Order: sequence, then structure tokens, then C-alpha cells
Amino acid sequence: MDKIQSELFLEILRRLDNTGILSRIILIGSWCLPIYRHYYSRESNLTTLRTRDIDFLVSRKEEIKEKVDLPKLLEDLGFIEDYKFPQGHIRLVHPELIMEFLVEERGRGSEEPYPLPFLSMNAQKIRLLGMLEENTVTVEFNGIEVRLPHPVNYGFHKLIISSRRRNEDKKQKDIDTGLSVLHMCRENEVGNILAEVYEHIPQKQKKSIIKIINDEKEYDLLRMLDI
Amino acid sequence: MAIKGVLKEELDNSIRMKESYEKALAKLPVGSLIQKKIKGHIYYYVVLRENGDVKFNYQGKNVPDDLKEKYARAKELRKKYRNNISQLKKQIKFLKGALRGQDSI
Repeated sequence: MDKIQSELFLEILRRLDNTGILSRIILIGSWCLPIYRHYYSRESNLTTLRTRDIDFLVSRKEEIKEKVDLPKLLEDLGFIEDYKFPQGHIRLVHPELIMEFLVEERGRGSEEPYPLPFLSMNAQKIRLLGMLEENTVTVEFNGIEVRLPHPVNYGFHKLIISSRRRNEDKKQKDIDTGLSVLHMCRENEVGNILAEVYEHIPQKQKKSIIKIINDEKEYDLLRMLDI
Repeated sequence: MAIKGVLKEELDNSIRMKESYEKALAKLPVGSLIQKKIKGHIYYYVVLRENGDVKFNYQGKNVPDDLKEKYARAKELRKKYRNNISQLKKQIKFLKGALRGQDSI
């Protein structure tokens, strides 16, 4: 991990933790990977290819009551607000990191951002995020408790969304990451959870997962799913 | 192959970010608040550069604390934003080169 970037990442976590909101939000995206590696406390083949994006998932079920002006909280670190065209999703940007909030899209959907007035922010609505919030783990990382999706959910989610990607590069990156995380879970003896989580995935998405696993010839994973 | 997509995304982000920092920099109060001691009395001025000339705009014998804080904060942020713009320019140069295949990835 690049030193400046990782220190900045930790400082963000520290500040969010001090305000009390870190326990109410879920870290998702590629910044989960170094924490998963730490979670299993061992070497793994987990890919470390990630972008600067730090994404936090806000659960619709969990109301954030703490009033925190996030742009102000991170201003002295050099973060500024950036409004994504055309809908105006707010991102807090820095040359090393880009932070944004996401929430699960429901129903017919709309492009409008989801307001988070207590954080002086808004969130982008994205489909299929539900499985990332239904099974979470809390990991102590450099003395800070961080909530993130269970790695099995994370891995399956990557495979599911890869099947919806139009961009071939991103699609392959999702597949590679998803499979690496699932292999890490398999190697770390939580294989039974693989089958358990898989069981609760809707049929249509199961088909996407199986297709990818077959295409990638990952037969060890197929066996773990009892298929 | 996936790495090229990531680099392209990072390049787009860096370009956007540089524009955002330039806008944020332009929004900061212009100049710096300074104090001059003249015949034992303190007077406040905002010093700034206009068309190459240094100007001192008189603010008064006393200025409110929030104004002092505003200029101190602007000074700090200006330095950070300029550093960040310079860092982003380097990133853009590197990423453009890498995507053209001139630099090793």
C-alpha cells in the first residue's frame, strides 16, 4: 500500500470513528481488500489493484443521527467537494483518494442523488448493494473498528456485477477480484459459509455466478458450492 | 488488460479533480492579511498582487477574529490546493504516458 495514501485512508477512518459515524456505515469497494487480508492474518494471493475510490455504503435501515459536516471535517486534509455531472452526486476528492457514499437503489429507480443531510453529503443509488449490507463483519484495523461486507458476500457481489458491466476491462477486474476473494475464503476454512451465502442468492444471480465460475474453470469453487 | 481500464479511469478522475481544485482555489479570498506597526500602532492590511504590482488594502486598526481566521485558513488551504494541483499535473502526465504505452506499467 502506498504510504501517503494508506496514511490518508487511516486518517479518514480515524476521523469518521471519532464522530461516531464509522460504525453506522459500511466500507465497500477495493479498499476492503487490504482489510480482508488483515482479517485473515495471513498471506494470500489477493489482488491489490484498486482505484483511489473509497466507497461507503449507507444502509436505508440504519438512520445516521450524528450531525457531521463531512466536507468541513476533511477540508484541512486538502479534500474538496466535487459535484459529479449531471446529477450532482457529491464526492470528496483529493489527489490520493476519492470518497463517496452509496445507497441501494430500490423500485423503479431514479438518477436523483439520495440526500444525506446529516453528513452534508448525498449518496449515489446503485442496484444490488443489498447483499453487501446483509452480512457484515467488523474488523479492527490499526486500532479502528471498521465494518465491511463479509468477504464471501463481497466476492459473490463482484461476480454478479461483473455480468452487468459493459466495459470489458472493469468486467475482468471484477471477476478477478471476486474470484481472488472467494479463493481466499476457501483457503481460510470458511468454505461452509460459501455454500450458505450462495444458497440465499436469487436464482437469476446464481446462474450468473455459475456461468463465470465455469468460464473461468474454477472447479474448486464449484465443488465448494455443492453443485 | 484490466489495468489499462483502471488507468483510464484514474486519468479521467485526475483531470476532473485538477479542474475542481482550480475552481476551489479561485474561490478562496484573494491576498493575505498582514499587520504593520507604524509609530507604535498596529494597522491591518490585505496584501495582494494586481497586474504585477503589490497592493496593500487598508482594513483598519482592529479586525474581527473571524476575518483573521478566514485569511489564515485560506492561506493554509491555498498551499494545500497548489500542492495538490501540482501532484495532479504529475499524475496526468504519467497516466497519459502510460496509456500511450511510453512508460512501463
